[in-house]
Amino acid sequence: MKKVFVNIDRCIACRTCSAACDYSHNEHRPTIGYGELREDVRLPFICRQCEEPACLAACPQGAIKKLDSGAIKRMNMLCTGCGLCALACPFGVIEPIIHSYVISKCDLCASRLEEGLEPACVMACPTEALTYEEADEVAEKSVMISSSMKGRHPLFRRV
Amino acid sequence: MDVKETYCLLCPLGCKIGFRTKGSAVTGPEFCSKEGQFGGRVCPRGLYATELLNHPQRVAVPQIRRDGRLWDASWDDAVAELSSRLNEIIRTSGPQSVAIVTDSTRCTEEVQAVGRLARAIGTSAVACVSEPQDWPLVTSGESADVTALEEAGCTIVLGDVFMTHPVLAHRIIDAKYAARGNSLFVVDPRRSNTAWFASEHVQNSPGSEALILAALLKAVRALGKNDSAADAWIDSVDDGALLQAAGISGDSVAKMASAFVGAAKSVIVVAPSARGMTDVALVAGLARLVASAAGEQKNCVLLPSGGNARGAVKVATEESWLSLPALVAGLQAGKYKALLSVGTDMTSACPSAELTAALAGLDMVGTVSVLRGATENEAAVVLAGASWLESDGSASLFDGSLKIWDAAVSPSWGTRTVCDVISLLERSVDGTKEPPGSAPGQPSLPGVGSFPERLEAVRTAVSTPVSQGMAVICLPASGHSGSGSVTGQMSWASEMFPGGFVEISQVDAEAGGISDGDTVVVASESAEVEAVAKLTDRLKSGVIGVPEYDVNMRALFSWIPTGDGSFSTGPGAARVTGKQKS
Repeated sequence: MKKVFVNIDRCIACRTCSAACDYSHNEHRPTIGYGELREDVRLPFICRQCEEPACLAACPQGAIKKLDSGAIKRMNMLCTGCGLCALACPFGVIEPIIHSYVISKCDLCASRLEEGLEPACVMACPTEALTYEEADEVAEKSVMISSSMKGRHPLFRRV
Repeated sequence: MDVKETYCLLCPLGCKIGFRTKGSAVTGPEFCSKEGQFGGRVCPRGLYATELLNHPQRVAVPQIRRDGRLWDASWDDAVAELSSRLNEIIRTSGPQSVAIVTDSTRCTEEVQAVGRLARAIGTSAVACVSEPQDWPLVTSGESADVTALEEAGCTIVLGDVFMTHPVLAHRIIDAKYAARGNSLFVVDPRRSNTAWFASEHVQNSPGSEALILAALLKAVRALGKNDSAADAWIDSVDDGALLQAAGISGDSVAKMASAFVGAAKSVIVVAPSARGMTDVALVAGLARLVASAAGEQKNCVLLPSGGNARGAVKVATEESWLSLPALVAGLQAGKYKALLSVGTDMTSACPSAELTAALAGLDMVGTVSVLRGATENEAAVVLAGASWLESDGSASLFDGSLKIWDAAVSPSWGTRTVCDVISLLERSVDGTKEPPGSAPGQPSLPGVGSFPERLEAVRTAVSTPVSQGMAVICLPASGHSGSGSVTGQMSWASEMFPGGFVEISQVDAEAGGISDGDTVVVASESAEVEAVAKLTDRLKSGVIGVPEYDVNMRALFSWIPTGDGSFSTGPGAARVTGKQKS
């Protein structure tokens, strides 16, 4: 399936993706948080859309569903904001601050995908650090990069 | 769904921004097609632009102050009130007692309309609010366009360009990654987000960029590509002393020079923040000399902060407007009785207690505003102006190219375009209707002959120990533009890029007994501000950084005109002390 990938060699931590996420989902907080790897290097935390999602398994309301496209979506009307999904997520990408009764969950901009557009964060990224690609293609690319960049830290591959 | 396109005026790159509209309502931002200069990409500022339309602080209808409160009024009443009060002041104190200000993020037509209004009134006290670095940067010469950044084998960046102009990052990173030998040098006193991408970060003393460029010019000339006699003055300059003052080694400059000359295509990018680069005009002038001395295909890109800085400065120069520092000094000296502020907020651009007191002491303040700011708190009449999204206009970008656009949406609520409002005022104000005499006060420009003296002045300023504690530089953020008078009011921008902090090096913090997250008092000669200490290893000892988009922190700098009548662009000075626990 297609997912959003981050190339941290191109991320300048301008937070445009976060703003784009906020402005295209008026109903909740943005789903893109930032982890600070170093003071000047931040990694956008974006949902991995796991094949076997822990958040889905953890949700007592059945409010998290897997769409046909593979995107994991939170159903607003079912969510009670209990926060179990935020606890269950192994990557910490579900914002633990719970506003009103819904949590933030990336759904790959389901409504935009239906219109044939890319997710808002990918469209907005000024450096093309975010890409919306097939997982297999990205895996191939990263194998090529890691074999040519032996001995480097996997997160800090610099050209 | 319908998507309308227009240009972003929050910085001078002129990116295309789009809106989703449903009927006449704007429902949110949309991204433009992946064609054009920046491929439809934007930075956070461009995304906030839709918020301008329905912002809670938006001035939706004209307002008149009665009994200390602003009340909604009709357009006829508000214009009549404003013009009768202006007429009264013109009659009693003369037309020269009326000051008018506008902004460099307004389109050229609006700036010209303000000039027309000033002529109708007969006052010469008209100025354009812009960041202190914009005027010298724009008047010092022409800039190359963005294509200069493409396929550049060597890019030298002065300042934190990824935060001031994030959309350029794509081209700069692409150019660096295009081939293995390509290099990116970043000259900045702070290890900024741009510096993280650099092949070499030249961490200089604050304000010493001009010295490094002078040493670079000498090194480039020594490599002998373009031996112009006009640059011969540089050969007699002692670059060792300059580099010692700048706190960097000669090796870095030699490396920069050989990479710059050696690459088939090279570019110098000058992107100053509001405070931190001493004598921006000299920096820009030297950057252009370095580019021309290095030979063919070497360019210089100058990036001001205001969206239409070039257009506004052109109008202001042609019509002999006052410079902003001269107008501020006049206001503080009580020279004017009334102020008409058109689409700007002076109190956030150059905040000081004196200016706030001066505004409060005026007989009348009238504004044409999009958002309610600090100036509106003093205003007797507030007219509801439209933002650039709601009016037709044109702007001169950083490279001098012209962008012309049609209104993306019609003026919201009860607002009118600034040009319409000014026509209304022109008709109802009884001025002298004669052109006022030209006003002095434009900052002078450095000729080639004055470069050595100015260099020496910068060297003295940089090598003089800071009398008051530590040097203070401004930190830009990708979510804010300039003083943040517009973006600072966007809820999301202030959440993502909060102000109220001071970056301080680990060494200084340890010496002062300050730990991360402590509330500290930052005191300069102009102001004393409480802020949260942010310990960092990005800055060298003796330097602190404050956000440039935070009005309270900007008040730490002196907003008094220097000898040549402009605001200083060099670093300020302040002392940081831990707050006494009560």
